[in-house]
Amino acid sequence: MRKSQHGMITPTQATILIINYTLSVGILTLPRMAANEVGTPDVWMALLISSLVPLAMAFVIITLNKRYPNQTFYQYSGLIVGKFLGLFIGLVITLFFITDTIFAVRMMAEVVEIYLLEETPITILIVIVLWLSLYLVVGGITSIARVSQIIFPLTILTFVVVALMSLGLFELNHLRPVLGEGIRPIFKIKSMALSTLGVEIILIIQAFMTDQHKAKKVIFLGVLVPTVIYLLTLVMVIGALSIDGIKNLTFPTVILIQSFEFPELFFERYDSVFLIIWTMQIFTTLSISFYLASLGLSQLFNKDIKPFMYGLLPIIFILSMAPKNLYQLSWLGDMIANVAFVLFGIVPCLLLLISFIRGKVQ
Amino acid sequence: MRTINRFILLFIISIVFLSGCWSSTDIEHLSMIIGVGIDVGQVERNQTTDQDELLEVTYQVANITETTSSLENSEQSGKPYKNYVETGNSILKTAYDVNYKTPNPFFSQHQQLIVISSELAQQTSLQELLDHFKRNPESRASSMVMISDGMARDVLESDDPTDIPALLITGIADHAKSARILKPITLAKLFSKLNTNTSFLLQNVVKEEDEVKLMGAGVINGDTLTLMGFLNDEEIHGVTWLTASTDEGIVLVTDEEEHAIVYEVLSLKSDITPTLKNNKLTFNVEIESEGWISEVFDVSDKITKEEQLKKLEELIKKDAEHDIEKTLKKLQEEFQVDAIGFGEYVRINYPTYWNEHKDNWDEIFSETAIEYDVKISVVDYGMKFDE
Repeated sequence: MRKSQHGMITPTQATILIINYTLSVGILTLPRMAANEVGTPDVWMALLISSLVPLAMAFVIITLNKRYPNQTFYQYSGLIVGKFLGLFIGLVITLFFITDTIFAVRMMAEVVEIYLLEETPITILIVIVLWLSLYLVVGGITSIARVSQIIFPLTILTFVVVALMSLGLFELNHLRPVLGEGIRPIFKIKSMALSTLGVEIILIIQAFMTDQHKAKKVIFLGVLVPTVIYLLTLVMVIGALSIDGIKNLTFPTVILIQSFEFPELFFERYDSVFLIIWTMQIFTTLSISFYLASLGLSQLFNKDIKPFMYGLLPIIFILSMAPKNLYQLSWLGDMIANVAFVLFGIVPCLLLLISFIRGKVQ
Repeated sequence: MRTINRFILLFIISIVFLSGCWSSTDIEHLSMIIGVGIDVGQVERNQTTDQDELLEVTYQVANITETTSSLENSEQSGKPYKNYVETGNSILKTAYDVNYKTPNPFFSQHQQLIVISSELAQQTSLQELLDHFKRNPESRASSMVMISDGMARDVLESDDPTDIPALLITGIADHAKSARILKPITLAKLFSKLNTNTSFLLQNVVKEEDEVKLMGAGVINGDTLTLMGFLNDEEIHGVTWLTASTDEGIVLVTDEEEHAIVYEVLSLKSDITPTLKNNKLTFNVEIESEGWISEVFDVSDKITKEEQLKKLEELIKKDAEHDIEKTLKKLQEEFQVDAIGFGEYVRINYPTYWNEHKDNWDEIFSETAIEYDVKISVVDYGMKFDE
C-alpha cells in the first residue's frame, strides 16, 4: 500500500471508510426490519437485489465526480446549479450528516447502556464518545481512515467467529421454502436498500483519494463487503431463530449471540465481546459523518474547519438527547435512510443531467 | 517548577479517570441466578388478589462461596445453591421482592433453566409467562425451558450436597441424547413457536423419590399456548423415530424364546413428505435406521445367522411401529394438535396451501393420514465375532 499523503487517502482506505460507514446500526436491527418487510425466508435474496441500489447510486455519483476532479461535492455543486441552490443543497447534506452522527451516537449509547454499562448515564456515554470522536476528527480524514483500517479487520474477524459459533443453532428449514410465495417478496427491498446505503460518501471523499481513476473498484468493494456481512448476519439470524421468531425482537443479532454457549471455552457471554467491537465500528461511522458535516460547513463558507468541529460538538450532543426512546430513535433512523435515498440517489442524477446540459463550467 | 506542577496535576487527574470500572461488582457479591421455577401461587390470607394471577417463583442462586469451600470440607458446608421462593403476580415483582432478602443483587446472565409447573402451564399462556425473559436484556436466550408434572420448586431442590439441581437438569438434557429425551428447547428456539402459535413439545422434568428425572414431554397447544397433557417415554420414542431428532438410543426387544436383545441405534433418518392431492393432504414418512446389536441375553447366541437377522430386524421394526402408532394416535386423536412439527414440511412444500390453512393447521393435522415405513438394518454385532 502506498503511504498516504497528508490530507489524502489511498483507494484502499477509501474502501474501508465506505465499509465502516455502511456497517452500523443495521447489523443489529436489519434482520428484524427485513423479516417484517419481506415476510418470507427469501430475505437474503432481497438483500442481494437491494445491494444494486447503492451500487447504481454510487455509479452516478462517481460519474458526476469525474467531471469535477479534486473537488468535493460541497465545492462543485454551486458550479452546476448556481451559488444559492448549491449552498442550499450543501447545507441539506451537512444537516444530513449531522443527523446521521446524532443517530449513530445515540444508538450506540442506547445499546451500550442496555447491554454493557447498565448504570452509566447515557449522557456520559455520549459525551465520552463525542470527545473521542472530536479528537479523531480534528486529525482529518487521514486519521479517520487509519483508525478505520485498524478496526476493520477486528470487525470482520468477530463476525466470522460469531457466524461460525452460531452454526450449531442453524436450521436449514428456517430458510426454506425458497421463493415459496413467488418472486414478489424479494423485491420488497426498501429497508434493506436503506441499510446497505453508505457508499454515498464517495460523493465527498473521492476528492481526497490519491488514485481517483480507481473509484469504480472502490465503490464496488464498498458495496460488496458490507453486503456479504449483512448477508451473513441475515442468514445466521434467520437460520437460528426463524423469520417469525425475530419479527418482534429489538436486536435479533444480539439475541442470536446470547443463544449459544460454549462451556468449554470458559467464557459464556459473547454478546459483550461482539458489542464492544460493534461499538468501535459505530464509532468510526459517527466519526466519518461528523467529519463530513464539519467539512461541509467549512467548504461551503470557505472557513477553517476546526471551529466548525468544535462548534458542532455541543449541537450534536444536545440534539442527540432529543429522541425520547428507542421507537423515536428508530423512526429517526428510517427518516435518515429515506432522506439519504433522495439526497444521494435522486439529487446527483439531476445534477449530472444539468451538468451534461450546461457543459463544463470552470 | 511549572512543569513539575503540571505533572502532579496530570497524576491527580489520572487517579480519577484511569481507575476504571468503579461501578464494578465482584463476582462473589452477585447473586447468580441459575434456574427459575414458576409455580401457581397460593393465596395468602389478607390478600385480595385474583388467585389465577398469582405466581410462586423459585430462584435458584449459586452459592459461590460454598462451592469453593466445599472442596475442602464438603461434610460441614451447606448446599452449593440456595433457593429463594416468593409469591407475586408478576415474575419481575417476585424478583424484586426476593432481592430484599438476598445480600447481593441478582444477576441473571448465567441463567440456564426455566421450569414451569404443569398446573400453571395449564391455565396460563406460555407467551405471558415467558414475556419477561424475552424483554429483559439481561436474561439469556440460551436458557432451556421445561415443564414439570409436579411442583417446579420441588424439581429445584436436591438432598445431595454436591448437586446444583438446575445445572444437573440442563446437564442431563445436554448430554443424554437418548431417544426418550427431547432435544433441549431453549428460549431462543421458542420465540418463533410462540409468535406463530405453533403447537410443540416441552421436556418434562419431575422429581421421583428424591431423584430428578427427565421423562416424557408436555404437549403445548398452539392456539392457547397452554399445556394440554403429556406424552410418556414410549411416545417420545415414537416422536424420535418420526422426526429423527437424535440418532442415539436403544431398542430392547425380546425374541420368541423370551431372550432380550438390545439394538443400539447408529444412525436414524426420517424423510417426511407431504403430498397434496385434490386439496387433501397426506404424509409419508420414510424412516431408516442402522444400528448394531450390543447386548444379547441368550447363551446360544445365533443372531448372526441370516434368517435370524431378518427376524430380528422385523422385531425391532415392530417395536418402532408400535411406538409411532401410539404417538400418532395420541397426538391426532387425543390432543388433536401437531406438536411434532409436521406443519414445517407443509410450509416448505406447499406454501400457498399453508398460508391458507395455517390458522387451523392443528385441526387438519389431526385428520390427515400419515403413512410410515420403517427400515431397520443391523450392520454389526458389536465387538463379538462368530465365524
